[in-house]
Amino acid sequence: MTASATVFLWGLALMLGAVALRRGRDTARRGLEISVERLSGIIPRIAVALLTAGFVAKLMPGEPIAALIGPESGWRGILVASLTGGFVPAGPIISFPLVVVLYKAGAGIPQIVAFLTAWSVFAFHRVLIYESTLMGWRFSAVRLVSSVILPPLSGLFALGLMRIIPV
Amino acid sequence: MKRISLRGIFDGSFWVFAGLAAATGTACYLVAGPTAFWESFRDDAELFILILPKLAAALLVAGFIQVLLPRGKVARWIGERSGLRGLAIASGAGMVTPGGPMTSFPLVNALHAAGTGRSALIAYLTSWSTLGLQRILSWELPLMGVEFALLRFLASLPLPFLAGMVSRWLPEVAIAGPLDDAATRTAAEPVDRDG
Repeated sequence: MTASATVFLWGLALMLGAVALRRGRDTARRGLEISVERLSGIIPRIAVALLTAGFVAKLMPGEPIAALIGPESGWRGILVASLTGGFVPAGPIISFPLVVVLYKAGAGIPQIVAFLTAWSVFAFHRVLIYESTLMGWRFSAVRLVSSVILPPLSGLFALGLMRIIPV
Repeated sequence: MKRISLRGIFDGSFWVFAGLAAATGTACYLVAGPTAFWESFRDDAELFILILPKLAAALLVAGFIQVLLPRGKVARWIGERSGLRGLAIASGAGMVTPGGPMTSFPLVNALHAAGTGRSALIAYLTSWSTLGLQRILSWELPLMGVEFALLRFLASLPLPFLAGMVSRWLPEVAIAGPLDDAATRTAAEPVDRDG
Protein backbone atom coordinates (compact mmCIF):
# COMPACT_ATOMS: atom_id res chain seq x y z
CA MET A 1 0.00 0.00 0.00
CA THR A 2 2.81 2.40 0.89
CA ALA A 3 4.71 1.65 -2.30
CA SER A 4 1.61 1.97 -4.44
CA ALA A 5 0.75 5.30 -2.80
CA THR A 6 4.21 6.63 -3.66
CA VAL A 7 3.84 5.46 -7.26
CA PHE A 8 0.36 6.99 -7.48
CA LEU A 9 1.50 10.35 -6.10
CA TRP A 10 4.51 10.55 -8.39
CA GLY A 11 2.34 9.58 -11.36
CA LEU A 12 -0.11 12.34 -10.49
CA ALA A 13 2.72 14.84 -9.96
CA LEU A 14 4.24 14.01 -13.36
CA MET A 15 0.84 14.21 -15.05
CA LEU A 16 0.06 17.62 -13.55
CA GLY A 17 3.60 18.75 -14.36
CA ALA A 18 3.02 17.80 -17.99
CA VAL A 19 -0.27 19.73 -18.03
CA ALA A 20 1.48 22.74 -16.53
CA LEU A 21 4.28 22.46 -19.09
CA ARG A 22 1.75 22.46 -21.91
CA ARG A 23 0.29 25.62 -20.44
CA GLY A 24 3.73 27.19 -20.73
CA ARG A 25 7.24 26.99 -19.35
CA ASP A 26 6.57 29.73 -16.83
CA THR A 27 3.55 27.98 -15.36
CA ALA A 28 5.50 24.77 -14.85
CA ARG A 29 8.43 26.60 -13.34
CA ARG A 30 6.19 28.53 -10.96
CA GLY A 31 4.56 25.29 -9.83
CA LEU A 32 7.97 23.73 -9.28
CA GLU A 33 9.17 26.75 -7.33
CA ILE A 34 6.13 26.74 -5.07
CA SER A 35 6.60 23.02 -4.38
CA VAL A 36 10.31 23.23 -3.66
CA GLU A 37 9.84 26.24 -1.43
CA ARG A 38 7.08 24.56 0.55
CA LEU A 39 8.99 21.29 0.74
CA SER A 40 12.10 22.96 2.11
CA GLY A 41 9.98 24.74 4.69
CA ILE A 42 8.02 21.68 5.70
CA ILE A 43 10.78 19.03 5.93
CA PRO A 44 12.50 20.41 9.04
CA ARG A 45 9.11 21.10 10.62
CA ILE A 46 7.84 17.59 10.04
CA ALA A 47 11.10 16.21 11.39
CA VAL A 48 10.78 18.03 14.72
CA ALA A 49 7.02 17.48 14.84
CA LEU A 50 7.51 13.72 14.44
CA LEU A 51 10.19 13.64 17.13
CA THR A 52 8.05 15.62 19.57
CA ALA A 53 5.00 13.46 18.89
CA GLY A 54 7.04 10.31 19.44
CA PHE A 55 8.56 11.51 22.72
CA VAL A 56 5.27 12.81 24.10
CA ALA A 57 3.62 9.49 23.18
CA LYS A 58 6.25 7.66 25.23
CA LEU A 59 5.63 9.98 28.18
CA MET A 60 1.86 9.92 28.10
CA PRO A 61 -0.04 7.25 29.92
CA GLY A 62 -2.04 5.34 27.33
CA GLU A 63 -4.89 4.06 29.49
CA PRO A 64 -6.84 7.27 30.17
CA ILE A 65 -6.74 8.24 26.50
CA ALA A 66 -7.74 4.78 25.36
CA ALA A 67 -10.60 4.79 27.87
CA LEU A 68 -11.83 8.23 26.81
CA ILE A 69 -11.43 8.10 23.04
CA GLY A 70 -10.17 4.60 22.30
CA PRO A 71 -11.65 2.34 19.62
CA GLU A 72 -13.96 0.81 22.24
CA SER A 73 -15.30 4.18 23.39
CA GLY A 74 -17.86 4.25 20.58
CA TRP A 75 -20.15 7.24 20.17
CA ARG A 76 -19.27 8.55 23.63
CA GLY A 77 -15.64 8.79 22.58
CA ILE A 78 -16.71 10.44 19.34
CA LEU A 79 -18.60 13.06 21.37
CA VAL A 80 -15.63 13.68 23.68
CA ALA A 81 -13.33 14.06 20.67
CA SER A 82 -15.83 16.39 18.96
CA LEU A 83 -15.92 18.62 22.03
CA THR A 84 -12.18 18.80 22.57
CA GLY A 85 -11.01 19.16 18.95
CA GLY A 86 -12.35 22.68 18.60
CA PHE A 87 -10.15 23.91 21.41
CA VAL A 88 -6.84 23.34 19.67
CA PRO A 89 -5.90 26.93 18.89
CA ALA A 90 -3.23 26.24 16.30
CA GLY A 91 -2.52 25.34 12.72
CA PRO A 92 -1.67 21.93 11.29
CA ILE A 93 1.88 22.05 12.65
CA ILE A 94 0.48 21.46 16.15
CA SER A 95 -2.74 19.63 15.52
CA PHE A 96 -1.38 16.83 13.32
CA PRO A 97 1.51 15.87 15.61
CA LEU A 98 -1.03 16.02 18.45
CA VAL A 99 -3.22 13.60 16.55
CA VAL A 100 -0.24 11.29 16.03
CA VAL A 101 0.35 11.35 19.79
CA LEU A 102 -3.29 10.53 20.50
CA TYR A 103 -3.22 7.73 17.93
CA LYS A 104 -0.04 6.23 19.37
CA ALA A 105 -1.54 6.48 22.85
CA GLY A 106 -4.51 4.40 21.79
CA ALA A 107 -7.19 6.72 20.39
CA GLY A 108 -9.62 5.14 17.93
CA ILE A 109 -9.82 6.13 14.27
CA PRO A 110 -13.45 7.40 14.22
CA GLN A 111 -12.68 9.42 17.35
CA ILE A 112 -9.61 10.97 15.67
CA VAL A 113 -11.70 11.78 12.60
CA ALA A 114 -14.23 13.60 14.82
CA PHE A 115 -11.38 15.39 16.62
CA LEU A 116 -9.86 16.60 13.35
CA THR A 117 -13.23 17.74 11.98
CA ALA A 118 -13.90 19.71 15.16
CA TRP A 119 -10.49 21.33 14.94
CA SER A 120 -11.04 22.10 11.23
CA VAL A 121 -14.46 23.71 11.48
CA PHE A 122 -14.36 25.29 14.95
CA ALA A 123 -10.71 26.34 15.41
CA PHE A 124 -11.50 29.49 17.32
CA HIS A 125 -8.21 31.23 16.62
CA ARG A 126 -9.17 31.22 12.93
CA VAL A 127 -12.66 32.51 13.69
CA LEU A 128 -11.20 35.24 15.86
CA ILE A 129 -8.38 36.37 13.60
CA TYR A 130 -9.79 35.91 10.11
CA GLU A 131 -13.46 35.08 9.92
CA SER A 132 -14.94 37.54 12.38
CA THR A 133 -12.79 40.38 11.13
CA LEU A 134 -13.42 39.75 7.44
CA MET A 135 -16.97 38.40 7.50
CA GLY A 136 -18.43 39.64 10.76
CA TRP A 137 -19.62 37.78 13.85
CA ARG A 138 -23.06 37.08 12.43
CA PHE A 139 -21.63 35.09 9.57
CA SER A 140 -19.34 33.20 11.96
CA ALA A 141 -22.32 32.45 14.20
CA VAL A 142 -24.39 31.09 11.30
CA ARG A 143 -21.49 28.99 10.07
CA LEU A 144 -20.69 27.63 13.53
CA VAL A 145 -24.33 26.71 14.22
CA SER A 146 -24.51 25.02 10.80
CA SER A 147 -21.38 23.04 11.67
CA VAL A 148 -22.26 21.84 15.17
CA ILE A 149 -23.30 18.37 14.01
CA LEU A 150 -20.37 17.87 11.65
CA PRO A 151 -17.68 16.48 14.01
CA PRO A 152 -19.83 13.74 15.57
CA LEU A 153 -21.32 12.94 12.16
CA SER A 154 -17.90 12.55 10.54
CA GLY A 155 -16.91 10.22 13.39
CA LEU A 156 -20.04 8.13 12.86
CA PHE A 157 -19.46 8.08 9.09
CA ALA A 158 -15.91 6.88 9.72
CA LEU A 159 -17.23 4.21 12.08
CA GLY A 160 -19.65 3.06 9.40
CA LEU A 161 -17.01 3.10 6.67
CA MET A 162 -14.69 0.99 8.80
CA ARG A 163 -17.35 -1.70 8.96
CA ILE A 164 -17.42 -1.77 5.14
CA ILE A 165 -13.72 -1.30 4.38
CA PRO A 166 -11.41 -2.47 7.16
CA VAL A 167 -8.53 -0.08 7.85
CA MET B 1 14.77 29.41 -9.82
CA LYS B 2 14.26 31.64 -6.83
CA ARG B 3 16.81 31.13 -4.09
CA ILE B 4 15.40 29.69 -0.94
CA SER B 5 16.63 31.53 2.08
CA LEU B 6 17.68 29.42 5.02
CA ARG B 7 16.45 32.13 7.29
CA GLY B 8 12.93 31.59 5.98
CA ILE B 9 13.11 27.87 6.66
CA PHE B 10 14.64 27.97 10.11
CA ASP B 11 12.61 30.86 11.43
CA GLY B 12 11.17 31.51 14.88
CA SER B 13 8.42 28.93 14.75
CA PHE B 14 10.86 26.22 13.69
CA TRP B 15 13.11 26.90 16.67
CA VAL B 16 10.15 26.87 19.03
CA PHE B 17 9.30 23.38 17.80
CA ALA B 18 12.90 22.28 17.80
CA GLY B 19 13.08 23.42 21.42
CA LEU B 20 9.91 21.50 22.14
CA ALA B 21 11.40 18.37 20.58
CA ALA B 22 14.57 18.80 22.64
CA ALA B 23 12.58 19.32 25.85
CA THR B 24 10.26 16.37 25.33
CA GLY B 25 13.25 14.28 24.20
CA THR B 26 15.12 15.10 27.39
CA ALA B 27 12.05 14.35 29.48
CA CYS B 28 11.59 11.06 27.63
CA TYR B 29 15.24 10.13 28.23
CA LEU B 30 15.02 10.94 31.93
CA VAL B 31 11.54 9.63 32.71
CA ALA B 32 11.01 6.72 30.32
CA GLY B 33 14.68 5.75 30.05
CA PRO B 34 17.34 5.67 27.31
CA THR B 35 15.85 2.56 25.69
CA ALA B 36 12.47 4.24 25.19
CA PHE B 37 14.21 7.39 23.93
CA TRP B 38 16.24 5.59 21.27
CA GLU B 39 13.33 3.38 20.28
CA SER B 40 11.20 6.46 19.69
CA PHE B 41 14.02 8.22 17.86
CA ARG B 42 14.64 5.24 15.57
CA ASP B 43 10.93 4.78 14.79
CA ASP B 44 10.54 8.45 13.91
CA ALA B 45 13.68 8.52 11.77
CA GLU B 46 12.44 5.46 9.86
CA LEU B 47 9.02 7.00 9.38
CA PHE B 48 10.59 10.25 8.25
CA ILE B 49 12.67 8.55 5.56
CA LEU B 50 9.65 6.55 4.49
CA ILE B 51 7.45 9.61 4.01
CA LEU B 52 10.01 11.84 2.27
CA PRO B 53 9.42 10.58 -1.28
CA LYS B 54 5.65 10.68 -0.74
CA LEU B 55 5.81 14.16 0.70
CA ALA B 56 7.91 15.43 -2.21
CA ALA B 57 5.42 14.07 -4.75
CA ALA B 58 2.44 15.36 -2.73
CA LEU B 59 3.84 18.87 -2.59
CA LEU B 60 4.56 18.80 -6.33
CA VAL B 61 0.90 17.88 -6.88
CA ALA B 62 -0.19 20.75 -4.63
CA GLY B 63 2.18 23.20 -6.32
CA PHE B 64 1.01 22.36 -9.83
CA ILE B 65 -2.65 22.50 -8.79
CA GLN B 66 -1.98 25.94 -7.39
CA VAL B 67 -0.61 27.33 -10.65
CA LEU B 68 -3.15 25.51 -12.82
CA LEU B 69 -6.11 26.78 -10.82
CA PRO B 70 -5.76 30.51 -10.28
CA ARG B 71 -7.90 31.93 -7.50
CA GLY B 72 -9.80 34.25 -9.80
CA LYS B 73 -11.10 31.25 -11.73
CA VAL B 74 -12.15 29.49 -8.54
CA ALA B 75 -14.02 32.59 -7.44
CA ARG B 76 -15.89 32.77 -10.75
CA TRP B 77 -16.99 29.12 -10.50
CA ILE B 78 -18.51 29.55 -7.08
CA GLY B 79 -20.11 32.87 -7.85
CA GLU B 80 -21.97 31.68 -10.94
CA ARG B 81 -23.86 28.65 -9.63
CA SER B 82 -26.60 28.39 -7.09
CA GLY B 83 -28.66 25.63 -5.45
CA LEU B 84 -27.32 22.12 -4.96
CA ARG B 85 -24.95 22.50 -7.87
CA GLY B 86 -23.65 25.64 -6.25
CA LEU B 87 -22.91 23.67 -3.08
CA ALA B 88 -21.11 21.01 -5.11
CA ILE B 89 -19.03 23.59 -6.95
CA ALA B 90 -18.25 25.40 -3.70
CA SER B 91 -17.14 22.11 -2.10
CA GLY B 92 -14.90 21.27 -5.05
CA ALA B 93 -13.39 24.73 -4.99
CA GLY B 94 -12.74 24.50 -1.25
CA MET B 95 -10.84 21.25 -1.77
CA VAL B 96 -8.40 22.72 -4.24
CA THR B 97 -7.92 26.15 -2.69
CA PRO B 98 -4.30 26.16 -1.59
CA GLY B 99 -2.89 28.06 1.33
CA GLY B 100 -3.97 28.90 4.83
CA PRO B 101 -6.71 31.15 6.19
CA MET B 102 -5.04 34.22 4.76
CA THR B 103 -5.99 32.89 1.32
CA SER B 104 -9.41 31.42 1.89
CA PHE B 105 -11.05 34.09 4.04
CA PRO B 106 -10.25 37.00 1.74
CA LEU B 107 -11.65 34.87 -1.10
CA VAL B 108 -14.85 34.23 0.86
CA ASN B 109 -15.08 37.91 1.61
CA ALA B 110 -14.74 38.79 -2.05
CA LEU B 111 -17.34 36.19 -3.02
CA HIS B 112 -19.74 37.57 -0.44
CA ALA B 113 -19.18 41.07 -1.76
CA ALA B 114 -19.93 39.76 -5.26
CA GLY B 115 -23.28 38.40 -4.09
CA THR B 116 -22.58 34.69 -3.50
CA GLY B 117 -25.14 33.09 -1.19
CA ARG B 118 -24.46 32.28 2.44
CA SER B 119 -24.87 28.51 2.08
CA ALA B 120 -22.31 28.32 -0.74
CA LEU B 121 -19.82 30.33 1.34
CA ILE B 122 -20.32 28.00 4.29
CA ALA B 123 -19.99 24.91 2.10
CA TYR B 124 -16.81 26.38 0.64
CA LEU B 125 -15.25 27.08 4.04
CA THR B 126 -16.26 23.69 5.42
CA SER B 127 -14.75 21.97 2.42
CA TRP B 128 -11.57 24.03 2.54
CA SER B 129 -11.05 23.22 6.21
CA THR B 130 -12.05 19.54 6.25
CA LEU B 131 -11.20 18.37 2.70
CA GLY B 132 -8.47 20.84 1.66
CA LEU B 133 -6.05 18.84 -0.46
CA GLN B 134 -3.01 20.86 0.41
CA ARG B 135 -3.35 20.20 4.12
CA ILE B 136 -4.07 16.52 3.49
CA LEU B 137 -1.08 16.19 1.20
CA SER B 138 1.43 18.04 3.32
CA TRP B 139 0.40 16.96 6.83
CA GLU B 140 -2.16 14.20 7.07
CA LEU B 141 -0.79 11.84 4.44
CA PRO B 142 2.81 11.85 5.70
CA LEU B 143 1.93 11.73 9.41
CA MET B 144 -1.14 9.49 9.46
CA GLY B 145 -0.75 7.38 6.34
CA VAL B 146 -2.76 6.84 3.18
CA GLU B 147 -5.43 4.59 4.68
CA PHE B 148 -6.34 7.00 7.43
CA ALA B 149 -6.29 10.02 5.11
CA LEU B 150 -8.55 8.23 2.63
CA LEU B 151 -10.99 7.09 5.30
CA ARG B 152 -11.24 10.54 6.84
CA PHE B 153 -11.66 12.09 3.39
CA LEU B 154 -14.56 9.77 2.56
CA ALA B 155 -16.16 10.30 5.97
CA SER B 156 -15.90 14.08 5.50
CA LEU B 157 -17.16 14.26 1.91
CA PRO B 158 -20.80 14.93 2.91
CA LEU B 159 -19.90 17.61 5.47
CA PRO B 160 -19.81 20.71 3.21
CA PHE B 161 -23.23 19.81 1.79
CA LEU B 162 -24.66 19.23 5.25
CA ALA B 163 -23.36 22.52 6.62
CA GLY B 164 -24.64 24.34 3.53
CA MET B 165 -28.08 22.73 3.83
CA VAL B 166 -28.38 23.40 7.56
CA SER B 167 -27.42 27.03 7.04
CA ARG B 168 -30.42 27.41 4.70
CA TRP B 169 -32.79 26.54 7.55
CA LEU B 170 -31.30 29.18 9.81
CA PRO B 171 -32.94 32.61 9.87
CA GLU B 172 -31.58 35.12 7.42
CA VAL B 173 -29.48 37.71 9.18
CA ALA B 174 -27.71 40.54 7.50
CA ILE B 175 -24.07 39.52 7.42
CA ALA B 176 -22.67 42.97 7.10
CA GLY B 177 -20.62 42.71 10.27
CA PRO B 178 -17.78 45.13 10.74
CA LEU B 179 -17.26 45.45 7.01
CA ASP B 180 -17.46 48.69 5.18
CA ASP B 181 -16.82 49.21 1.52
CA ALA B 182 -13.18 50.03 1.96
CA ALA B 183 -12.53 46.80 3.85
CA THR B 184 -14.36 44.85 1.18
CA ARG B 185 -12.29 46.40 -1.54
CA THR B 186 -8.92 45.71 0.02
CA ALA B 187 -9.89 42.18 0.94
CA ALA B 188 -11.21 41.53 -2.56
CA GLU B 189 -8.05 42.72 -4.21
CA PRO B 190 -5.87 39.60 -4.09
CA VAL B 191 -8.51 37.62 -5.99
CA ASP B 192 -8.04 39.70 -9.08
CA ARG B 193 -4.37 38.93 -9.25
CA ASP B 194 -5.04 35.35 -10.29
CA GLY B 195 -2.59 33.71 -8.03
